[in-house]
Amino acid sequence: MRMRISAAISAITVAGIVAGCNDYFEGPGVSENPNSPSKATADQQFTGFQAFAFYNLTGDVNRLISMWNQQMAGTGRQWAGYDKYVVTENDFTFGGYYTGGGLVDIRGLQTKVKDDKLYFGVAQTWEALTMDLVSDVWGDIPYSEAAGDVLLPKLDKQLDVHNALLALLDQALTNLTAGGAGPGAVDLVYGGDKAKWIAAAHTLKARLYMHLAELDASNYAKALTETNAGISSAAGDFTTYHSGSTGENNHWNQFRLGRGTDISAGEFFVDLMKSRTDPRLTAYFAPGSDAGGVIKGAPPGEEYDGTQAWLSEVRGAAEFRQPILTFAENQMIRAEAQYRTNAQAAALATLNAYRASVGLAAKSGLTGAALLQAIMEEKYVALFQNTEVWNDYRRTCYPNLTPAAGSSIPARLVYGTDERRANPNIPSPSQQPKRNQLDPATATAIDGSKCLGTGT
Amino acid sequence: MRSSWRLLGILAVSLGSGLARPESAHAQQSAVSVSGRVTNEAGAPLSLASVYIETLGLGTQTAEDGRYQLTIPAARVHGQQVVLGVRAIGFRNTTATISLTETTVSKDFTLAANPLRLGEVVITGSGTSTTVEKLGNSINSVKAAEIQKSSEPNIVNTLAAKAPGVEVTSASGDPGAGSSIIIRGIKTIQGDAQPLFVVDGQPIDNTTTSTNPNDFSASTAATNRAADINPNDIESIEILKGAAASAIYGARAAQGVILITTKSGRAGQTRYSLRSNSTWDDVNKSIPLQRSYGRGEVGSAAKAACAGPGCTPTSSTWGPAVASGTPTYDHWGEAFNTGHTFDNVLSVSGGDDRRTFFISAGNTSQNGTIIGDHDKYNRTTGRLKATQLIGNKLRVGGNVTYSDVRSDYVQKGNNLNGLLLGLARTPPDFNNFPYVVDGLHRSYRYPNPANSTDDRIYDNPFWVINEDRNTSTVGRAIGNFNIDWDALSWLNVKYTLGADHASDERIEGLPPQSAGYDGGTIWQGTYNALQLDHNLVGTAQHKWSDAFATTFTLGQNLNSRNQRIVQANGTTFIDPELFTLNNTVSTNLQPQNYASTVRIAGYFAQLGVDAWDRLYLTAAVRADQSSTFPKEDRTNYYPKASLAWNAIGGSRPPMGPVSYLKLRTAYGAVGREPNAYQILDTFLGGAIPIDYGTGSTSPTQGGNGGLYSSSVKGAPRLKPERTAEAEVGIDFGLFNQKVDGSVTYYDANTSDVIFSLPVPVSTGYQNVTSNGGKITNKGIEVVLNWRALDIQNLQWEIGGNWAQNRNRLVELQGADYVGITGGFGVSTAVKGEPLGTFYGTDWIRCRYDVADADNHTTNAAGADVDVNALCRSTNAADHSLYVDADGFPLIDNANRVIGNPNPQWIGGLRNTFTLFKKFQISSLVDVKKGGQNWNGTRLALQRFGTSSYTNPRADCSAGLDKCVGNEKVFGQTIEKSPGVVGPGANKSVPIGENWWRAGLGNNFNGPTGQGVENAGYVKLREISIAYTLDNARVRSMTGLASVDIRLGARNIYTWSDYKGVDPETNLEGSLGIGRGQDYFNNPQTRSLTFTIGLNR
Repeated sequence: MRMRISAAISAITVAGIVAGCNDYFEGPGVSENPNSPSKATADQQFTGFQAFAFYNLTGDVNRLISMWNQQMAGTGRQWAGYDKYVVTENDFTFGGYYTGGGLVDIRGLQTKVKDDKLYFGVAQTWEALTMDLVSDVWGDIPYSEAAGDVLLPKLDKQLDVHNALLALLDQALTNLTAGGAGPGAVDLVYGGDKAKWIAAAHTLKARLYMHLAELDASNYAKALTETNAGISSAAGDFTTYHSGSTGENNHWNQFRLGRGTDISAGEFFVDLMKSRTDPRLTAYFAPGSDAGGVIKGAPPGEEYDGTQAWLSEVRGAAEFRQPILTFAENQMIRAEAQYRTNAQAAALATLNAYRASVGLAAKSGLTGAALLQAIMEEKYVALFQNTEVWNDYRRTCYPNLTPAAGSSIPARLVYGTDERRANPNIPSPSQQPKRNQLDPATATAIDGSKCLGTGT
Repeated sequence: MRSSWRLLGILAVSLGSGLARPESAHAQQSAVSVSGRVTNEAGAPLSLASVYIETLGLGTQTAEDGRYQLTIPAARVHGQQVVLGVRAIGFRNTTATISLTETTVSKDFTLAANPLRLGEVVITGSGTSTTVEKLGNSINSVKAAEIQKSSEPNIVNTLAAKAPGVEVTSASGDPGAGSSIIIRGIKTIQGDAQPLFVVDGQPIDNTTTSTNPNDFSASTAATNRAADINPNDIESIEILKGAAASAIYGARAAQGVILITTKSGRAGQTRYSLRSNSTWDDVNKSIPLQRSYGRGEVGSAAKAACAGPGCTPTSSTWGPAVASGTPTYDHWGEAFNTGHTFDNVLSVSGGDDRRTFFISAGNTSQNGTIIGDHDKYNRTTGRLKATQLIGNKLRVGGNVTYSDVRSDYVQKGNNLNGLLLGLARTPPDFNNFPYVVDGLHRSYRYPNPANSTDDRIYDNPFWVINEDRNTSTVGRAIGNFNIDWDALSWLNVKYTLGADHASDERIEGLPPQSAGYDGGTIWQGTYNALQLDHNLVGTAQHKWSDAFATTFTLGQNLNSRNQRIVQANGTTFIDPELFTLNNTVSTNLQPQNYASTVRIAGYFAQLGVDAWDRLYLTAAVRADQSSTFPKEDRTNYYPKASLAWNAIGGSRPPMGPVSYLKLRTAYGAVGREPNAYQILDTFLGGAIPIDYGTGSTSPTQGGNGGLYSSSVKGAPRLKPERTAEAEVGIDFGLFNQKVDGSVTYYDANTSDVIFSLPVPVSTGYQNVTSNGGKITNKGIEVVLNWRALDIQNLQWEIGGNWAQNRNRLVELQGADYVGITGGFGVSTAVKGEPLGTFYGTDWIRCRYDVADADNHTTNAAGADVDVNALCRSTNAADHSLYVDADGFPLIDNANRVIGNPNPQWIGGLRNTFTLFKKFQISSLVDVKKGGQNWNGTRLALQRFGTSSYTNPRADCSAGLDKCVGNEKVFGQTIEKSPGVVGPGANKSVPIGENWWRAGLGNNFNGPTGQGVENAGYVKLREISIAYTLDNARVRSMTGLASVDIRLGARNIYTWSDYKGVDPETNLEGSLGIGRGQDYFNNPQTRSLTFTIGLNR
């Protein structure tokens, strides 16, 4: 009897010990997901972030803006419609700028590299670059409460976002200057080159100050100062990374493979380059298959018929690294800022120095509005496929585009459904402003025309 | 050792001579053979009744003819008197005292019915059991005889209409198709709504997985894994319905528990049984197709003209009437024929006072109703269950079963490669034969095949039937080792250690030239599931006084489940006929793998108190720890309590007509554990397609491995879903139990329901796994049985069950609606509505429950119309149809609630007649009142013009705006509505191609809501006529104890208004909670079964 009781007790005890083992609930496959990692190293997260940032900078939104700039044109299916401003809240959304590969991961990276100042500064500069784009396109955006613990982030005013990004870049510059081991080869843009990152951060600051200049002209001087420390040669350009390997191809190249001829060269842009006899025309474009060797652009929304040009072999290649922040932009900001701060001669010199670097003859004797127009035109041509051209247009009404539909070119995108449906802080599409805070309705071209309409 | 030899000896003798007779020993004390026959009051034999001598620890079981034979070893015979008892489910225990003075004793028993099963032991799970009168919650039992009568290869289907509140829906009539079983309503949103299956104390896997990941709407039928069990091996099934009943299974029991007990051997003569079933199936209802009009558009065949090879003519059947003499084809009839199932099971069982054994071998071989050889289900099972008594207190047992299941399937559903999508769209004047011409696939969209690379758009149905390869090969082993030890006079210890392992090898292959895959494609994969379970239970009993006894149970359960899936998709075959991954162009190979491990440690304690032989209290708590719970909240508690008061009956005398009355109430809590790893953040490393391209973007760049955050945020504090349920009920017997019944009311509140909450993307995530859902289920269950007639040579019993469940999604954490698993874009979880509600577009109607501002439309003149204001001004009924000036309704593009698949009530009615004590005739009627289906099949075929609902049709040959004839009035003779409003109300309009194809009369242009139909039905579910041959002549001629013959039929007839196939259809099968979606799913069948059983 006694033995039986003890046997029963010991059986239960043994079972209890089995269950009490700590590793019953812990370890690979149990508390750790065997299918996907629950943690990422800094380098893994940075690589993943960059891969999707390259898309965010040169993917769908960039394609749309390039069409609205009339550098490109929609020539098929929904792209022909987008080109004529038929865009709903379902079409272009900013989800990818915040979710995996976006803000959530660059912030995640920052928490991991706090002790490596160079790496930290690189990550902060990346955040400023990508969130600037979101703020330029959508205006007021969730930022101060984004990618954090707030379930329904509020909208921050576009000005506040820009000021926050400028402050972030100041921190980034402090960190970049302090230095550290840095990301090294994992940095697909500069390979961890500290000096290039410092220059890029300055050029980016200059860009941001230019965005603010319509509200406060004192920002021109600030932008000018930044360009002094900005990207000083084409070797310092900030370009995306692409290669011929599957999964690493240039996004314009992938678009052409997947959607054929839905986008072609824009007529306005091609004609402008022809009128300038710009040697970059063949560097940018190649003739359409039925065009008899002539580079022809399409007016907005024209159906593709085999004659419209597409990107050149170089520019359309899978390996092509898309320019994002360049020496050209730095110099054209510099020229405009000099002009705006009443240093017209210096502005012309800066313009001509740049023209010489791309094989164009110097302009002489330009002053006043004609000089500004020449600078803006130069920037429009140099920053081919760059979203910044649209920001400039909204500020200056240069170049003098004819809207593809209606009386004005859209000045912002409506918020996407992925945000609006879940976030009561986002107004319904009809309640959203037609233009952004930094491009106020009073913005006018130098000739006095109101190029963006009068919507508020 | 000696015993073993004797067992073998009995086996040998039995096999050799036909009737095993114990040999009379010549010793002074001889062995005593006790034999006899057990019948019911009507004189019909009772099989599977236990006959036992408690004091000697001896027992046996009656055969099919009711006969038993029990041998008392000589050593234990000393001329004493012993009590011989008989126990049978549904009958009163009966005893008789016999004297062991002769070598043979004959004793027959006639058992009185015990419809309330008072005194019978009922298994309550995790090694616990009680007697029926002590139950404070409702548990339904289904016995072997009822399972056999249904002749269903899938165990889940055998439960249809057998118990109140248990809703069984089989996905289709495909061999191996899965079945869903929902008990007392759905209690989850994005989880699995199927109950936990437990076989002989061992929880088993009942998941349903599709070869094509995440796509249950296409692909093939998928089997729920419980179908691997051979229903012939089952002795009884207990359905634990409410939370109080299933709380002992804690975090796995939210949807109830199905406890299956397999057959066991009994001491006594070795029994042999061979049962053979032969079943013929055919499709019970077809998709209604018209055969009067041919291919074309705008009433003209010329519009379909298509000369050269490679041309793909119109998809439409809107041509002229088929000229007399032009052949038309019965596309449906050509594709189906009579299916056949052959089911054999051989079992041998027996034992003696120290050991028992049960051995069975079974094979079910089914060739379904689709012509050809590719819809098959072949299940071979073997089972061995044995026990051995060691000493006098310790019984050890082993139980192992192996199932080999091989299936061939035919693609179905929303699928260009599915059988019915192409078949039902084929114009009646197109001959689908030949389906291959000169080695090229010919289809109605591609009638003159020119090459192997052009898209066939829809596969020819005979291509689907004959050329595709969809196979599953399952090896499944379930077994356990168990101990039952009466450690002390008051303490019993039970232990079970079990394993369930399944390996499923899948191939889903489409050969080159299949629609959408001109080079062919193959999914090949292996699905492995392993479940280990350890269950240790100690039960202590003490009788404090005559009036007061307690039972205390303490248990521990450790459960571990592993799942591993490895599969790959390859496209473009090298050799067109070889269905392997190696045979595909390897750059296209896309491998996937998935693994998970979930571990639970549960501890439970239960106290039962019996007072004054009439008041029974049970209280228990289970504490569950799971690897799917966050570390900080590792333990969750699931309490329960129940009280049963036997007011009348037992020792209490009847009160008037009331011969028995029990009042009961119970409360319990159960859970549903989160899925594995939902509490963790996830980083992904796979490439994703962007840029619309053939390419993709990979987070890995330039040789650096990259990762990015999943769009779903991990939920580190995720809790299990929790259901708290209260129930009250009465069980009663009237007129000395001539009538019995029970009524139960329950109210279940499920909180912390897990779902993926859409969040603003600016949070960095698209979804957060949330605990924010709340669901309520309230219902009533009624059972009523009446032994209506009991006269010489005729007995008639009638029994019914009825249940009503009201399901509602009460809270969704601010979201209006979220997707559900298996929703097919039609079924969703809408706040305030029942789960699975159909949600989509509808006609513009009066909607008084919608704000006026949200119910506007634009009329033909382009002016804004305030619909509700218009409706009020004409006093129109709610949901009156708005008809525009042209006489046609308008689409309301807002998504709204458009239907509800949940039935108003379900019920079953069984009639059983016993004639001349030999014939048993029974029928089962299954009723589903209300509950809607979304008939997308009809809507699509209205567009294509093949649906019989497009015949008659207006003549539109003069142009779509000049149709004449077939005039209808919207809201009255078409799209019938409670009323009509609008400028075109009561206007008569021609209905033809202008409406069905070019207008809104289909699901491509028109509202989803027009496909919602009442899918209620009355089904003659089963008819069975059984006869037992056991007279002496048969016995001596055949050497058999008895021969049973049974003729059965299943799904014989369905009464329903549903305009399509059998309303019992479920495109998404047993996955998830979406129900009632009808979109080219393979059809249901009816069947006729002939069974012969040989027993000895």
